[in-house]
Amino acid sequence: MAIKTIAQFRTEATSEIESEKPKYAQVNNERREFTDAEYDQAIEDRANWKLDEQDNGYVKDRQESYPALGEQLDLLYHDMTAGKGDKTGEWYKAVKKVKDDNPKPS
Amino acid sequence: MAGSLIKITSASTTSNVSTIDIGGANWDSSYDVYMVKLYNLQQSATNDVRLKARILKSDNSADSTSNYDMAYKGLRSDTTFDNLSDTNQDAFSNLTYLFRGSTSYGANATFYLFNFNNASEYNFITVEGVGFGYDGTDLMGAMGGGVHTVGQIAKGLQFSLTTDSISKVYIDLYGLRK
Repeated sequence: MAIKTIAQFRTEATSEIESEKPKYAQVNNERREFTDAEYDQAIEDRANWKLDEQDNGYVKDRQESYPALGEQLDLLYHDMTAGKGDKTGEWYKAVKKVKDDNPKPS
Repeated sequence: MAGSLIKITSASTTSNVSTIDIGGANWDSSYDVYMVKLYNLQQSATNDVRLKARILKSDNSADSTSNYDMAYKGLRSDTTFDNLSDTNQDAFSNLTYLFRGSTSYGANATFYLFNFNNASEYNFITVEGVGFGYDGTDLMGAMGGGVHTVGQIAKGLQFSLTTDSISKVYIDLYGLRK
């Protein structure tokens, strides 16, 4: 997947926010539609979020997918016991699967 | 102590809003420490969302400059705890870590606010938040704190989600200590 720039995300975000109108703010317990400045901020926020997801999303996804540390240590113990302290071991396969399933964008 | 733990104002919605402010025009600047309780936060759809907050400035508008630093321990029931930290962000993020679930689940949090009335000190917050994440089976929480690295007066917080609207929430602001 091609890496996008913040300008490209801003274009996407502008289109999305436009399609989501009207958006509302709750201020002093009164619900009112966003001002122009708040719509501009919503576009900037959406674009920045998309950029962050693109650049760092795989890190979060990997962190959320790795087996628990205790489970990994147990995998390592059984791999070493079975003489599989290399790429044939279950620990390596488990970690590699997470990395392969959540690739770093390039 | 007289005058402690006084409810200053509340905010709530049961209709979709993208942002909700607590404080602002209703801010009482006579306290040194404040507490914000956020209850039964629900989202308009079922995306994975993260709660974020911005400081309300003296003109009651949200500060969206990149001056928010934070560090939390991510409390998870499905795997080992995470360390969540970031600097120079445009909001305090991950306040309840992550949650999902529309009206079936939700999130709750308590915040303590420090130095909000001091124009020459940074604004500090501490966070204890929890939500029901992923497919609604995993409890996700965050405990930690943040600093807004601008020496300015603040008058509350503006809450929003990374995506989706807030469909329901109740928020109370208390003055804790004068």
